Amino acid sequence: MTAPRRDGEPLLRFEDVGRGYGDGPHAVRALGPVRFDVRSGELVAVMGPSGSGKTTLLSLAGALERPTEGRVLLRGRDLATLSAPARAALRRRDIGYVFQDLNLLPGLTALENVSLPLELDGVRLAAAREEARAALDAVGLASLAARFPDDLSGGERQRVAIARAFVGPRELLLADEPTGNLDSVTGERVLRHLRAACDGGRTAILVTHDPSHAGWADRVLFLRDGVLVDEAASGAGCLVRVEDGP
Amino acid sequence: MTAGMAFRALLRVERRELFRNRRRSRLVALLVAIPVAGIVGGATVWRNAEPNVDERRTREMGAADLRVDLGAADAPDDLTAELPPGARVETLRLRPETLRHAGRRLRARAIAADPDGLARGMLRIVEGRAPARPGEIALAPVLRDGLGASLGASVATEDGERTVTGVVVDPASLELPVALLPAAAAGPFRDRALLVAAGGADAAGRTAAALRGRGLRVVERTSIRPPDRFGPTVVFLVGGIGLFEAALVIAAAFAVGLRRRRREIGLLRATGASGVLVCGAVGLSAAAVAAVGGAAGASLGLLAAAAVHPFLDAWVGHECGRFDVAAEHVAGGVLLGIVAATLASLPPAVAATRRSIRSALGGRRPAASARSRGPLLGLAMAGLGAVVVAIGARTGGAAGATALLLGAATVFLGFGVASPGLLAGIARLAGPLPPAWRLAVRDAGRFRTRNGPVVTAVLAGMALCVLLGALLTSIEARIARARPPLRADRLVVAGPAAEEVARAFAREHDAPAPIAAYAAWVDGAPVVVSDGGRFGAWLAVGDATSRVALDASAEPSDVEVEAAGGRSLGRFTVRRVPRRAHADPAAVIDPESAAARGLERGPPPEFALAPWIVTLDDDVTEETAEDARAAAAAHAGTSVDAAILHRRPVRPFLRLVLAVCLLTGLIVVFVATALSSAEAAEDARILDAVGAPPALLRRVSAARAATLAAVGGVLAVPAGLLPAPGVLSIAKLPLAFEVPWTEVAAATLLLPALAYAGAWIAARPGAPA
Repeated sequence: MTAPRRDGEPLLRFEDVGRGYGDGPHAVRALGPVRFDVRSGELVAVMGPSGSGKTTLLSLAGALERPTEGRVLLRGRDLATLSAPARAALRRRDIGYVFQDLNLLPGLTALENVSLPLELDGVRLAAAREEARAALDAVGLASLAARFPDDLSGGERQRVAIARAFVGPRELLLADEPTGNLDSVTGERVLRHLRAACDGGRTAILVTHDPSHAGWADRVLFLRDGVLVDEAASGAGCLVRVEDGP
Repeated sequence: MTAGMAFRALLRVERRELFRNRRRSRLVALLVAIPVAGIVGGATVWRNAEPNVDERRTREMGAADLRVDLGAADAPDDLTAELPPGARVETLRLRPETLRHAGRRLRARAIAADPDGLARGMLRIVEGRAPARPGEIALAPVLRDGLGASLGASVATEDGERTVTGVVVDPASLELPVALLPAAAAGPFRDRALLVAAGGADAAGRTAAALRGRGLRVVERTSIRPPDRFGPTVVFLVGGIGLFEAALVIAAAFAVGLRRRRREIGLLRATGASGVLVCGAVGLSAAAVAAVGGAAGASLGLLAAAAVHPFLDAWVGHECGRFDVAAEHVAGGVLLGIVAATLASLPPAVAATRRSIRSALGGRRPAASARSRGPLLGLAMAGLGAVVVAIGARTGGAAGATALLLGAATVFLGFGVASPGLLAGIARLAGPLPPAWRLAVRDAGRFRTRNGPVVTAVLAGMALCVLLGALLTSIEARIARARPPLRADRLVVAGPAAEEVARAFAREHDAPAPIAAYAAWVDGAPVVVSDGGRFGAWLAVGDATSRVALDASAEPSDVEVEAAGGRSLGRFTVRRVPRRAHADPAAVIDPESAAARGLERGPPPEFALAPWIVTLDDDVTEETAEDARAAAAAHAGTSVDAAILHRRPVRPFLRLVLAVCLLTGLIVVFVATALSSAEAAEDARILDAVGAPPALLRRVSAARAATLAAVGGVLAVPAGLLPAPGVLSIAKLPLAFEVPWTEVAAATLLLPALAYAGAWIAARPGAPA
């Protein structure tokens, strides 16, 4: 794991990025234009009310969608110029995702879920499984490697998803309300893993509703109606970092 | 709220669901419509193709109440004494006739009768008019075309020239070469019949009894019965199998829909709806969709039947009359469709309502039972079915056949019941597979309750194919073993005029001169070549030409030859013949050597006279074989044999069955894959997020189809082979059981490969798997 590096060129850059859906009278502007940078090793929280464009922002950062205006740059590369296979390769190697729910493929065991990006990238099965086991170990779930998602609790599933998001050489983690369906104690554990990963040199964007969760971030971006309305450093204003979990 | 009100509320919910989920509703309607269209269309075509009772009676005896068959005898002079007052009698006379015109000569069946009298309907004038004067004749279309004799032409008959006045057909046999003569035509006739209008059924009955009392053969109009229900029954049985397969897929479609609605159903139950009411509403909605599908299918079937009706006469060879629809066939087909769809919707509905309300509201999957008894139960059922088949085979008769059918169905269902457990077992072993296959196999196991019926549908179709394949392959193997040596390019002409027919045919087709196939005889029996373990093979006698025809090798070799009874005749120098069948000769010896060894020439075993062999440049085609048979038919006791004639009835039918089964299996698998894909949209989103290449989603979809097809196809092999020996036994076919390798390969390899390829093509790259 690389050491934190929070200066120099940004890992991720949004350059006046906008995203709209539909056209004519049905046209909806979901995001933008927004402009911000995320540097390596940062944990950036994105907050805002429902429909403010948080998930759209995350989809654009993860190359799941293309912006209708502006550019999203990952290490200086414009994601919109990449072909579908190249964007898929990017998600395998550089970007990890954690959703609020539906994080894991129910047909695969925890270990197989974590090793999937590596296997898809052509890593030999044994090597992929070994690396996946180490990733599960890092989130404290090595003993549950053979279990299927239906046999895991919500918190365990999210930790498996985090292990999958960080397995291999990937640096950027995109988490869309990863604690939304979890109790507070389990949610804290998940956030602690995220924080630890960023302290270890990874980078993460965390979408959340909860100000207490945003307190774990280095920076908080506030979205309203698709526009970036404010930005705050950790601990500023109402953002409180709560550490009452086990 | 009363139960009735609650049910109405639930029905409202289900009705909205039908419209909200239009694709599933259309799929269910289509799955019902296709077999119902087949049932209604097939039964209607069959009904129209078969003459009804009135048509049968008219074709047998026109408008008469009685037909008295006299044979070659004249009518007794005092016959009128037996007839009731006012009875009308007309004579029908028949004889074979040879017609000549413009250098052509055809054999015909000449009938002297009045087609407007009591014989009305037995023969029908379709062009021109009936012959009325002595020198007139009406010809069947086949005679008119064969002779090239149009209306007004003069044709030569055995009793002089006659003018063609019309075209006549026998409605019972449109291809019959019938020639109508005036009722009063002179000359000798071979057969006679009296048509009697007795004035009612009672009088006809009394008259018939009196005439029978005088030793005459009498057919009463009322004794001709309506056709049995065999045809429509077969159509309903075959269509029923199709509906069974459709019902299994419908069950899977409802299972998917209900699983997606588990929260909604949980909510309905939480607000007080009982499980029974929910199931009833689901069943009724299925019935409503099936009614629409059934009505559409019935309309389609009737339209198709009406469309083919004008061509039916030519296909079946007799007049089919006006288009007729049986209400019971239409209602029966639609009802069968509704019942099948309703029953198919109930098991998923029951399963959905048995889930705990809490887990349904939470959207959680119910915990899978640790150990399912399905596989054991299924295998037990398959075993029981095999025992029932064996009992049926031993019992024989109608009871045996029923037991056999029930046993075969139990075997199929048993493997179907075992299939969910098998899918779960395979899913557990999928760890080492590549991601696409692992996901597909695990999905098959996860959704085993939905995929079980799909696998059952595939295996039922393919097992039927394997079963029929075993039966027909065994028949073919017997034909190949039992028939005389027949090479594909060879015709064997046997009988008194064999040489004449063979030489004429060879000349006509520019073939080499035919040769006679003689066997070496001694002591009044064919000798036997016992050398090299070829006991029972006979020794042909022939020259260089016969050696070519018999594929004899160029190099001479010595073989041990025995007379009948095993007496050794010593070692003879012969030329070996590669054997293709049991009745092939083992070797050929030249006539001089045979004579020097004291051997005589005689016919080969199984022939009374030495057959003549025509060897063509190419393989014998059906047309060539028909030509030869027509040439031989002109000579009494002469026949033609060719390899193609033995294969014609079996192989194409088997191919058709195989194609239908493969197509049905593929449709079932594709529908199931589409259902899986609809349910796996969330999985596709996750795969996309973890960087699965677009092609992977396509491969997952293809692998899902191939997995279901492979499991169904593999299970179809034991399911089809288990009842096969019983079927052979009960059919009293003295056949050695043959494994139908083509059908086995089609079920286990071709079907999964086609399913993979089809699903891969159908799935858009990058689309949700």
